[in-house]
Formats: sequence, C-alpha cells, structure tokens
Amino acid sequence: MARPLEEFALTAKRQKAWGWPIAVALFLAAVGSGLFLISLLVERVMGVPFDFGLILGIGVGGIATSAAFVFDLGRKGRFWRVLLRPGKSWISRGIILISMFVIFGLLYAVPGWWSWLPWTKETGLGQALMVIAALGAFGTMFYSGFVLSYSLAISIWNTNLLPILCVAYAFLAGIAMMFIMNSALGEGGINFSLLKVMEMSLIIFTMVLFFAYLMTTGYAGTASREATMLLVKGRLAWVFWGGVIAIGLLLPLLITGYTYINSDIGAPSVALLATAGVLELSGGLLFRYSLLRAGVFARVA
Amino acid sequence: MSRLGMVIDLKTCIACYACVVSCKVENGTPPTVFWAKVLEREEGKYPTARRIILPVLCNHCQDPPCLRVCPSGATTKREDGIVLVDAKKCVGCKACMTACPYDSRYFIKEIRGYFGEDLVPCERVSYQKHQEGVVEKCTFCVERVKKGLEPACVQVCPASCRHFGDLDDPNSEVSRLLKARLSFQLLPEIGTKPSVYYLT
Ligand code: SF4
Repeated sequence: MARPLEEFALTAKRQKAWGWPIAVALFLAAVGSGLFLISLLVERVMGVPFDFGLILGIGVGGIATSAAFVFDLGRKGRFWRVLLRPGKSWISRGIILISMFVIFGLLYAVPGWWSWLPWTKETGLGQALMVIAALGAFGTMFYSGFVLSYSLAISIWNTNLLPILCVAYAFLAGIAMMFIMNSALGEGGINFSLLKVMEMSLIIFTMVLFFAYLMTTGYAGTASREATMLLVKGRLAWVFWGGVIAIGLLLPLLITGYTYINSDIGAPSVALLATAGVLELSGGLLFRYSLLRAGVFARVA
Repeated sequence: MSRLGMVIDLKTCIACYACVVSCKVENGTPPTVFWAKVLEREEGKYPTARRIILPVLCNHCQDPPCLRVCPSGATTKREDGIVLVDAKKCVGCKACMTACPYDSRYFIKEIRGYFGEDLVPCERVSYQKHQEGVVEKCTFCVERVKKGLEPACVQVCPASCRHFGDLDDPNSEVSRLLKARLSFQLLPEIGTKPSVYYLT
C-alpha cells in the first residue's frame, strides 16, 4: 500500500552546513576551558601555581576556538555581529562566555608574571576575577553542547544529555592536556594520582552517559533513529566505535589504569600517560566530528 | 493583525514547475539555489503505484527555529509573519540552516552564472540582489506583497493550486479553503507552526 503523504515528508537527510571547522571549534573550546579549570584546580586545591596551564587553556579555548569559528563564517569581517543576540542565540552566548573566560582569566593569571600590577591572585579582586573566569570557562563547556542541542530540527542533537556529555568531555580534555604537559614540563609537585583517578572516573561516567544518550536518541523518532544507526552501524560506525569509543575512551582508561596500579614504573608511566592524553584528545575531536556528521533531520523529500 | 500564508492544493498541482521558474525569474537566484522547489517521488508498485508531488518553499513559521538561533539579528519576522534574512547583517554562520527542518535555506558560497564564467546581462542585474557568504531563502516575494501583489509562484501557477492571503482573516480565500477542505502542514510535531498549508 502506498504511504500517506505525511510519511513521505519524513525521509531523513544529513545536515551539511557544519563540518570540520565547527567540529574543531567545539573541540578547542572544550580543550581550552577544560585545561583552564583543571589548572585552577591544581592551583587552588593542590596548591601548585600553574600559570602555564591557565594561559595555554585561555589561548586554546579563546583564541584558537574563535579562529576556527571565524574561519567557517561566510562573512568573516562581520564577526562582531555574532555578539548581538545573547538573549536568544547560543552562538552569541558562547562567544560572550568565551570572551569572559579569556579576558577575566588573563587578568587573573597575569600577576604571576607582572608583579607590578595592583592586584595578586590572592587579593579580593584576584579572587573575583578567578570566579568570573571560572564561570566563563564552565559556561563554555556547556555552550558547545547547547549550541547543538538547541536545534529542534536535528533530534540526535536536541537532547539535554548532550551538554552534559560535552562538559564531561571538556574535563577529560583538560586532564589529557595535563598528562601531555607532564611529559614536557615534569610533575612539578602536581598530584597525578588524583588526576588519574579523576580521569578514570570521568571516562567511566562518559561511557555510561554515551550509553544513555544513544538509548535516548535511538528511540526518539525516525530521523533520530536513523542518525543513531548511522553512528553505531552505518558509515560512521568505524569513526564512532574505533575512534570515539576505543581510541578516545577505552584505551586511555586501560593505560591510565595500568599506570595507576603500577605507580612505581617511573619514566614509562609519563610516556604512557602522554599517549593516553593524545588518544583521548583524538577521540574528543572525532566525537565532535561524528556528532556533526550524524546530524540528520526529518526532511520534506 | 495579519498573518500571511500560502495554501497549496495538492489535488490540482500538475508538477509543471512554473512556480520554480517564476521564482527564479522574480528573484534572480544563482544556480543551485531554489527558493521554490517541487519534490516528486514514485511510491509503491504496479498496480498501486502513484506519483507524489509536493511543492515546497520556506514555511514562514509562526515560531521560526531559524530566528531563535540567529546570532546576528539578520533573520527577522515581520508583523505580517513573513520571515526575512537581511543579507547586510548575515555573518554566514549557517546556524539557521541546521535549525530549519524544511531545508529551505541556502548558503551562497559563490555567485556563478548559468552560462559559463561571464555573467549574461540579466544575471548582472539580478545578482545585485544577492551576496556571497550569506544565507538566503524565500521571502514570499515581499517586494511584490508590499505593492499589493501576490508572490510570483502564486500568480504564475496555471492550475491555480497556490493561494496566498491572510490566515487570520476568516473571510480570506486561504481561510475559507482551510475551513472547507482537509489540510496539513509539514512536520507539525516540531512545533514551528508553518504558514504554508497543503490541501489533500
Ligand atoms: S547564517 Fe545569517 S541568517 Fe543564518 S543564523 Fe547565521 S547570521 Fe543568522
């Protein structure tokens, strides 16, 4: 029997508007904000000043993210216009949050280099700057999820689990950067055992979240089901299972677990952790890429 | 207050593509850009095979998802419900394209002619209305509407299957048609409240 016209209008189609540049922008926003917050944690909780991490986080999160985002704009010269609708648009909100995190983060971090400034990290002003920068960085983590989840038309994005997944990924990326920097800069008094525990817990949390996410999207209508199938069984399956899950989550979990249990192996542990960091970052980038590629909307064709 | 909308009678559409061509002529859109389209598909097998025809355009939704996501204020909705993109304000971020469930928006990467490298005289004139690096879509022929005319696709339809008017006016032709016949909107479950209706 022929299908009614309403069903005919429900054939799914993949979005093509956003590709690699946006995947890179979302990834860098997460790496930068994650690194900034983890560096703050190292500084405030472990008591180890870590200005390099703060500045690198700001550089990656602010400058590199904006560069990748502007690269994708059709009219780069009008970039400033994206700030105009924070009341409605998550792109506007995101750029404001990133600016907040970059400007206030820099103001918080610079007294580490320029002692002539009238405030330090410990003064009331320094603390206030830190809180605002941290809020900006935390908001940036959420933003990369909300900018997608706000799209009504693409139901695999349109879920509240996505921003939470993005926050988990951002913290993971921050720790991954710490593992990589550890191999270049040395431990410098940082409690890496705590970071390893955080890393393993976050990976397990992310995998559980992923499972819940796919269970939700797999049953959320035709387009969402098709998108989920594209990820888990279709053309993107090798990126998803091989890149996002195996390389990005499982291998780092195993490596970090191994170095945690065998904490006395010395130098190889540093190299292994750096490898875990690189794998995890690769998985994080592929996560954004596959998510964008799996963006399928119900289409009238 | 008025709410302009379109009613398309699927029983009378003959898929002649006059609406597609008239839209091109009126708006001078570059190659690969079709603000008005006619979708066709063959369904089923003999003896129950049938051809389905669906003319589509921007739905000028009452609650347009493209408007919500636009960061620059380029996408706006007029009092009469027409959703427009201001090319001078658009930054080409394409957020509206990911938000539009109807695939009604086009990103103009570059403006090429239909007949090779050089633009022909009519293209040189009509392409002045378009910009590279921005997103465009159907305007319900707003310039014609301002003059009290119907959109070009409505005026040209030889089968009179397109009707245009005020959906809020109970005495308008579109309202009367919607009262008299069975109709549907595209993807109503998304909650965009399209202003384009189809009569079955
Ligand atoms: S592409 Fe233009 S119209 Fe579309 S959301 Fe971006 S700025 Fe707004």
